[in-house]
Amino acid sequence: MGRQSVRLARNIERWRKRHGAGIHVRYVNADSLLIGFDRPEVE
Amino acid sequence: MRSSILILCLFILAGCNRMVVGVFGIHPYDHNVTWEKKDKLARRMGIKQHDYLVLHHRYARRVEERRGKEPDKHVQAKYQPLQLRWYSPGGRIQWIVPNCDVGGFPNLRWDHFGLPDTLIAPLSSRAYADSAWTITEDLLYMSERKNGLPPTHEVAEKGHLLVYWT
Repeated sequence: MGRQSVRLARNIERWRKRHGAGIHVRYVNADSLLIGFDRPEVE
Repeated sequence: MRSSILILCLFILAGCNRMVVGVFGIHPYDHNVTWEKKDKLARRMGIKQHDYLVLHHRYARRVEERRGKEPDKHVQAKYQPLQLRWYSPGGRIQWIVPNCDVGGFPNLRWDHFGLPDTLIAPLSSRAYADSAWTITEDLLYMSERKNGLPPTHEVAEKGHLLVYWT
């Protein structure tokens, strides 16, 4: 699992190498968002 | 063959719902997932420590506050496990591309909208972005993985890209 995450990251890195000067890229682990999808009330 | 067509139909019908997330190799939420596993995936993705942020649970509450005020599809898009979010140099959000709008089977085709040659989002992606949102506000719901501290808003000449992953 996570195959699509890895593929996306590879795309982003290729793009950053071509165009990334002056662009700030950060990666956000959003597992907590998926908890929210199931149970939005969870703190 | 028949099962592939069925899965494809499910994907088309599912839109931004999560029902077939696992089929596409995107992490569905695993209640037993450990930080060790997340960090291992982060290494596979090549994420550098100083670029590694974590979204807080309470962000979902912020998204829920928008329910009823914007189309359901827009709310569901913000819950997608993979997203690209682009902000102007000043920090205003410009567009959001969730995985459910990317298309492609069996793998998502991020190059449909320009990666890696350009980074141009379709008009529909701009509709997801509430122009009042800023990256500074979004960062309030995040912390740095390396030390747990709130991330700082750094100056970027051309803009900011946040890559949501699970």
